[in-house]
Amino acid sequence: MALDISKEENPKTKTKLNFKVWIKILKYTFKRWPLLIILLLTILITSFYDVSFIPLMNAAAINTLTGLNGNFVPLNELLFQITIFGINFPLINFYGYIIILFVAILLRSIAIFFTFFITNYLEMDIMVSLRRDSFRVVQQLSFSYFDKTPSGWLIARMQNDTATIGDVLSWGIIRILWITAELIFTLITMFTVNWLLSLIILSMAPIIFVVVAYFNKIILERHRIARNAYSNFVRWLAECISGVQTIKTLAIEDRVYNEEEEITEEVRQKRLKAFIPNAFFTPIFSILSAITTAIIILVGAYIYQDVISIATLVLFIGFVGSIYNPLSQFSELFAEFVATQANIEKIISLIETKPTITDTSEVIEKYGTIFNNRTENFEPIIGDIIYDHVSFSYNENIEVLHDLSLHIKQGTSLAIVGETGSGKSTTVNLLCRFYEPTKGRILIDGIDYKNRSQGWLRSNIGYVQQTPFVFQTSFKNNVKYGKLDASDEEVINACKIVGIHDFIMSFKDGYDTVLNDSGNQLSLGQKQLISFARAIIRNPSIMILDEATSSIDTETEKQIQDAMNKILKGRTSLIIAHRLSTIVECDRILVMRDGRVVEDGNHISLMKKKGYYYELYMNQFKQLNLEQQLNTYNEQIKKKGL
Amino acid sequence: MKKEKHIYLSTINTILKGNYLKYAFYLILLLGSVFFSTMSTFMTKILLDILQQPTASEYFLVVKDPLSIFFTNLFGGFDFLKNNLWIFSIIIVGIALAMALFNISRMYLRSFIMTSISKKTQLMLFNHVERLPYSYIKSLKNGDIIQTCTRDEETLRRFLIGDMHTIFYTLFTLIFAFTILATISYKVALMSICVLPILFIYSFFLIKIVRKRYRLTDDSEGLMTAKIEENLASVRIVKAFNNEKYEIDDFEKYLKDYRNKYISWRKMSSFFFSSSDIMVFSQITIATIVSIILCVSGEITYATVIVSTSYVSMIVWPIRDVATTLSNFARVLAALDRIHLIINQQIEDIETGLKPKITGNIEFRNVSFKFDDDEKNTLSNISFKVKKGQTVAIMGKTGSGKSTLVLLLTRLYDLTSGDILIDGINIKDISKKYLRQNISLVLQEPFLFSKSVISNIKITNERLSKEEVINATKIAAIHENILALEKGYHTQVGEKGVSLSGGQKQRVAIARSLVNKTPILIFDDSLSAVDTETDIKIRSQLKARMKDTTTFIITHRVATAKDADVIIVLENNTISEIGNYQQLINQDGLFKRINDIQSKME
Repeated sequence: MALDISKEENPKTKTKLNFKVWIKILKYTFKRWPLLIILLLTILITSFYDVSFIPLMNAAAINTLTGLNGNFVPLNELLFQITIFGINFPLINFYGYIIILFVAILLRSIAIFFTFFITNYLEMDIMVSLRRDSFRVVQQLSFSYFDKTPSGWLIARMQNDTATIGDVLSWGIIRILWITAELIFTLITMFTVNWLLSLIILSMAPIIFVVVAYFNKIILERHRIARNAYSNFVRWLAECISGVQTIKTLAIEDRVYNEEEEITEEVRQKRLKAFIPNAFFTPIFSILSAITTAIIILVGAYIYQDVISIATLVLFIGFVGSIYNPLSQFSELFAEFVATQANIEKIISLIETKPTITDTSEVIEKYGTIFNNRTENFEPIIGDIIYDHVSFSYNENIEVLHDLSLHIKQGTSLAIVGETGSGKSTTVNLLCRFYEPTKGRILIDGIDYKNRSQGWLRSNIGYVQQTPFVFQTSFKNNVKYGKLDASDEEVINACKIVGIHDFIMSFKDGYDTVLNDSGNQLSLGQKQLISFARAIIRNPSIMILDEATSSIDTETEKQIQDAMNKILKGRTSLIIAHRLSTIVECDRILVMRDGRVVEDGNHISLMKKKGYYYELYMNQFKQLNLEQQLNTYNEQIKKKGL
Repeated sequence: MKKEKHIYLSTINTILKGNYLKYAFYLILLLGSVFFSTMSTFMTKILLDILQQPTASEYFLVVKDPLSIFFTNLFGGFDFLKNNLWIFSIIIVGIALAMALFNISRMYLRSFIMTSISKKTQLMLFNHVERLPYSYIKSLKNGDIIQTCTRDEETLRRFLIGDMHTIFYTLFTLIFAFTILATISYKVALMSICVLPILFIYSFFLIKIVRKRYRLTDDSEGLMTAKIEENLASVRIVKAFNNEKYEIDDFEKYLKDYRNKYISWRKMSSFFFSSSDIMVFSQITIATIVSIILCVSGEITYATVIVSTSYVSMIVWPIRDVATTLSNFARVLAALDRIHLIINQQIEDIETGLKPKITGNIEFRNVSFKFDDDEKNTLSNISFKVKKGQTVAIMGKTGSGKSTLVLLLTRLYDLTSGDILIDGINIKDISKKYLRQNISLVLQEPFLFSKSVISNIKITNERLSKEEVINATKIAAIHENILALEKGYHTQVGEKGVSLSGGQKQRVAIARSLVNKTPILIFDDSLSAVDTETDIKIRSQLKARMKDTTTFIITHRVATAKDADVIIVLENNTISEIGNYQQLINQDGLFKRINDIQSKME
């Protein structure tokens, strides 16, 4: 799995085009074919104006003016012979000439408006479509995918790649069209005026191609190196800023300064190296143009002598620029397309990823898909859970859960404890069908859960995860996330049950208070209470708390404890607890080690046994800070008399 | 207002200092290359006029402008040139070569200035940041500092190099082209620039509207990407609650909003370009038409018609760029403001002060401390004495001021009232750097740099021997763990390397603090992620090997505090109990209660 989380550059730019992915991605552009046709038209108008119309209009004027030979003619008798692509148009007078010029300006402006607008529209449209498609795919993917794929990788795909591809597939394609149109018009114009001079200009084209390709390669490569050096600097900077307290306590400011001197010097040198070829690129280009111009003057003056008109000479001096510019852009564009290929390959692979957990077609027919549940066919759930010889491995050969058989009766609160890697999380993840057992079955109310849909199962489960997550929206919407069509009363009721109602009401806007990004308004414990409310509002038959109490500050611990007791009442519940003091009251405690259940009982019986549970419990107690020890002790004396 | 301007100028001055001469030379080279490029066009005019006119007398009859006469005579007169047209080819290539020379040196110099002022700004900014008082740095957001050191630096560099170039290039071209045209015909010259002021003003103001809409679009995209990030962060919740459909519908709203704003922005920007294009091309066309009229009336030659068109094309495009650049000037000022805010802040003087021999006798006399933005004291009236070589355990509830107490000793925070004496000398009089070099503080959340383990340990002193390092890692009970890593001591840690567990990080940080054998050692809850056995091992090693070191240990484990010479219990921001283990368990207080509970549980 590729783990390039940040915007790291690809180490190598491939030179081979992978047509398969290009065809897939080009569909996003060609889906908008009517726009492309309009674009083609507007581009034809614009480039015709730039490389054919204006030079030829000027040539017509020069022909008229040189034809005067110094004789005075009144303006309205001035006649212009316009010749476009070898076709002579009827003579027009000066006013006609002016009108044509201004009408053409207006037409070109309208054309350029549509060219810009449509291209930009395409850029946005492609990006938005790619984001929409990848977002949809991500919603369907299974947990195992997210285990293997860091969210940074996905963010890079959905944000950066979609933008880059949108740009290349719109502007890149339009520039190809544009350049091609300009080249074709220039060539037609040139050859219809004078073929020998045209060949002279074209003879320089191979040299231009070679020079441009050479410089492009160097410049691209060196810029990539420079960018890497710079992102290295930014990374270093971010690290030092977060470690500034350490820097100060160690009094190593000078050392850090020296290090920065080295890093910024590296950036400076790499950048300098990247910019230097640019200094030569344009001047070499203009020397080549000047040489061509000089040859044209020589040919015009000595070979053609009087045969060639001055207007033609001027025309060709102008062509030197208008043919070399598009030529030079071709190889630049090619490099750009090649560089984007890696992004395209990645996003196509994302969009084509298939979820590993799917419902069978019979199940879908009855219960619907996760996007479209057929709730009318959902059977109510009682909450009787059986693990029937369940084994599970994330990767082949490494089994993390071995032959688990377990019957959880309806309404039982079951705590699962054990060290990291003991298989406790796996046990509940399997129940939620985030993963499926590799061996064995899980029965809910006596039926293998694979015979019903994921939507059916999850609509009956209340789930609270370790790190509480609040969305950047109002309190109300955060709670309603558990039941989208919940009424305000239901929301308030859920909040009252978990004991966060008064706190929410202490805000000026009450339930409509919007929680911001940093979430500073809430402590971790308060965020967890919101998660509890979110789970309870579903009125689920099965409640799952996955280490929901492990990151709670002492202030809210008691509150959480109370909330937990309330929400677990009457439901089948599975609680994974890192902090053992929170599960003392559970009906049943399962102690796991290395993927197996090693002890099974309740708190008092397990403490009396003085086995593994006792050891874990005592070790933890000593790690608590002073007030926690005091509180826990008092609480437990009160409740259990221990 | 005047004062503000002064701030901007002085900030720019700090950055440009040392590069002024190069900058001036750059402008001269730019002037040269613009000069040659206008000359190259002018040569075409002379060529065309000579081609057109059959004799010298007729030529000088129509060509009256001083520049053409000057150049015609310079290159050997009309007749010579007329018979030797190849000279023009030479001249054109010659000018192109000269221009290339100027351009190459100019762009080389430009790259040089650009990269060096960029480096200078980066270096200056962060060097300043890391030397600011700790309390000030804490008041800034990390993201803001990074933003200033990267994006604001870039904005400023782009202005000083890119934008200034555009402005000067346009100015020089305008001056040369206008002057040359004026020597031929002031009417042509004037008509060649008549639309420019309108174009300038139009672009200046219209681009502001475009930019405003762009900002709305950008904000909307920010919301959209935030939505993506939120969705990915909450993916487990989404699935557990079967809200996939809701998420897709919700995301669609963001897409729609972005799409609408984008379209409104792009409509405006496309309109801006197409409408200003009308002015650009009208200017060129007006110049052409007026010159045709003047040409017909015999005032100018047809060659002048051609050059005036070329010159107008040279000026008119950059004018639009300058207008759009200048209208974005507020962004540059904002960046300057933020840079100024940092470099104007007084840095902390860590050098001056006494450098006495420190052995480790410490006395707190009525020390109180209050954070600037707090109303209540974080610490009040703290007094105690510690003798050299003693171990002090500090206990207390969360927020009781334990960490602040030890930070006062290193002067990361300066106390509000009272005195702290080390070996009888007030720490106010001791150089901060010297003080910090003599006190090793292991922070609660250890921070390791993205370097190898060995470089991290040797960060304060690169000349440490292997034995000294291993000695420290053995005391910190991490030596074996390091050897077990793939590359041993040379394993990369931190962001880019292997991730160590919390306990391992703490122990590497402890080793880093031990290598210098400082007389004072502080553990700010830095054994919390280490298991009990290792904790005991480390402390017994410390006791045996570092007898003369005064050690502070902030802890919540009674067992850890048990062996200390002095135990300080902080409650309600002051010392509630002080004494050794025997004394404290015999008086009724927090310590006794905890001790009782812990032993009862056993």
